[in-house]
Amino acid sequence: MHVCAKYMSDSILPIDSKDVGTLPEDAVLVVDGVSKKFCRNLRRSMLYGMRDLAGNLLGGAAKQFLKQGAVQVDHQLRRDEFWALKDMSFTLKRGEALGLIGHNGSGKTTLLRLLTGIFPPDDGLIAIRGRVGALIALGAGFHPHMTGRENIYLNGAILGMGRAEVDAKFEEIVNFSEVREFLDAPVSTYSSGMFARLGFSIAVHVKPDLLLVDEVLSVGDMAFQAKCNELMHDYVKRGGSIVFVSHNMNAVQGLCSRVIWMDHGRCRQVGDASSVVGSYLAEMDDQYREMSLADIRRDNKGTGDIRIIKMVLRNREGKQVASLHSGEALTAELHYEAMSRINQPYFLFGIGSRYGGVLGASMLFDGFRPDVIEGQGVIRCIFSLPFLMPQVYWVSVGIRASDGVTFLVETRKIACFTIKTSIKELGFSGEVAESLARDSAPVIIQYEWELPGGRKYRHECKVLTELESET
Amino acid sequence: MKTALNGHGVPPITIYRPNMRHELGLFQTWVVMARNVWRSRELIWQLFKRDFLASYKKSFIGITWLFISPLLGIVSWVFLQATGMLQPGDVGIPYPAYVMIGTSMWGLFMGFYSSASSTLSAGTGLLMQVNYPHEALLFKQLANQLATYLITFLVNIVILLIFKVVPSWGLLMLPLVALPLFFLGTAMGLIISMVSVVAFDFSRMVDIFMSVLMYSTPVIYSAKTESALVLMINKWNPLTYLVCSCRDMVIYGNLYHPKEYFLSAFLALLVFLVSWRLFYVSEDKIIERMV
Repeated sequence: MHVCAKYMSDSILPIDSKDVGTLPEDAVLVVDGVSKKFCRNLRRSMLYGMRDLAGNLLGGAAKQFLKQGAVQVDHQLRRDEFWALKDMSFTLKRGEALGLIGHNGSGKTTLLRLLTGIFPPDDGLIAIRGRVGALIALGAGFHPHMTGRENIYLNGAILGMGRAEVDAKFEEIVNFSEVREFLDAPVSTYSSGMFARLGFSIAVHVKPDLLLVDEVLSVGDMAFQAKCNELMHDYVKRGGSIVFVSHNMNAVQGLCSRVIWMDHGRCRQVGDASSVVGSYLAEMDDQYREMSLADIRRDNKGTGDIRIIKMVLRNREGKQVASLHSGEALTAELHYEAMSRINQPYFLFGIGSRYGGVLGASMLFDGFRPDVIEGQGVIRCIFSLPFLMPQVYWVSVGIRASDGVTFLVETRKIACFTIKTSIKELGFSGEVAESLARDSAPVIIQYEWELPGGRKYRHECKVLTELESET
Repeated sequence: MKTALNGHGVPPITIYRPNMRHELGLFQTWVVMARNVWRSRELIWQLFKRDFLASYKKSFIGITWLFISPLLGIVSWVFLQATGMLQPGDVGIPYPAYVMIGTSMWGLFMGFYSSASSTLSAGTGLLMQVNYPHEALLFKQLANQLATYLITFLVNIVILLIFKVVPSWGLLMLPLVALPLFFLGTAMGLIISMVSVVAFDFSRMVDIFMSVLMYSTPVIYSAKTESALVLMINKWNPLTYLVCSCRDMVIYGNLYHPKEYFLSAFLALLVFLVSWRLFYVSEDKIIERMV
């Protein structure tokens, strides 16, 4: 193996000259077929660790004394092992921001740790040109008893900045973090916001070529988040590259030109930001609906005096539907069976989305009640729904006894429906409206903008379908 | 080729591949690790400052403890000997002085071992968050150890003088003579630090064994003992020569059985080089298990 002396002086590990060739001139990061496995079971994990160690001691060391042989890559999974990452490949150019989205446990943080070099890959290759800076844990190594000033030097050293470099950048770091008055106070007295700002400031002033950001920006107040966002935009504009992991779709779309959707360690979709984010949110909706249906299948809870048979959702024509147009009226028809004579029960119907309850009809408020309920029956509530965003909504039902307190049937979700009107039909023509609609607040109302300079815009609630002509 | 943000010269290229560390030759490993230590000297200094000063900032007795503890250490031995319950034999100089210097040298060895063996566990949080040369952790631990030891050693000298035992000028050679202790203690510690991540019980057993190991060397008793078993153990134990040479260097200015000393020293160096290499090759896989 020919070792590239020119590069060896800048890295901890040896580099083969042919590896360097995998990195094209304008690329900052190349990830090629990278996989990583972990062990689920703690005991077994320890056992594998012992085996690796013993193998190195007995076999490896002896092997090295005789000749240098590369240890084989193990493509099989031992018992209880799983692939946290499998065959991830992508390239990042200078001045590009890449977003990584996916559920918790999809391997995003693992990938970042591999890029930082905390873990070695089990297969594949990672090549990075330039300095790497990671915002995985802000204030890494901060000692609470030491002052802000001392911690800047400490953290700087941990992140790879020499004393001279920290000296040169000291003022900038302090200015950006806005902790000057508390610079000589122990860090344990800092608020969590100050702590985060200082950690962020130091990490950012390492001025790496590749910046890895792992959901750290959810810590801290709005002002801090805004500042970080601004900094990252600036960074990309000046030619830096970012790998951005986040659950905030707005932030991802705002910053990144390309997005990778990761699912169980694999790359599920890669492409431009709006299409990948859109697909991801669409799937979230489907899962939410599945979740709601799962809730619905749970058993009745309550005193047992009334049993819910089913809820049927109908549109204005009386036809059973699972989806509606925005602005249409919804009839919620509840079929029940009363096991005994029940006097003056209260019925409560609710409608909500993933954000919680949005609308409701409750006899506790309005005072209307049936006098007596017995045997099988049907009760209907017709909702004149406002204009709603295209999302998945659930319908819940609860029944209370005449005292207004005891639950004959505890409030639970019992049905769901979707609003199928598209964003464009609702009059929203913003560029990113399509993919954000699923994530936004559900109720649409009329409003007016008055801009500086005098222009006015009104958003009206109307639906551009044949529904219009009937009113 | 300048990079947009750095303004430096040629940007460094970093490659990560599976099992990279195995590809390095034996000699190259030592070079790479030594270079890492040199390049992370600022980090070692900062980490050392953090740990050392922080541990004394909180306590009232603080640094004074470092002066008191050597005295407390020998109290039980002196008591046992003075009351006649312990018959260590003829040691040539007043017993308290003898036992103090001997246990101090043993303490130096144990210090190297325990600082090395907590290399990985002392850096737990940081190891998983930031990438930096882990050799820095080891040397930070050692620096801690040495700093504490320096103060203890000064107290030892003072006590020697009190007992009218004048240390010889050989004491200036002590750092050199103690080097094999560093090699052996650090070597064993490094291995155990990795073992303690994956087989914690085993490392505990080794810790206990190490604390008992002191009795296999003539530290608290005279080398001119009568028991044949003890004599044999002493003779074959490399630590005997290493620890006792350090002691004798301070008191008399000569080595304890020089031929055997150099053999043990060479052995210690060999063990150190092997374990250093083993650490380099295995540490990244071991650190994964710390998750």
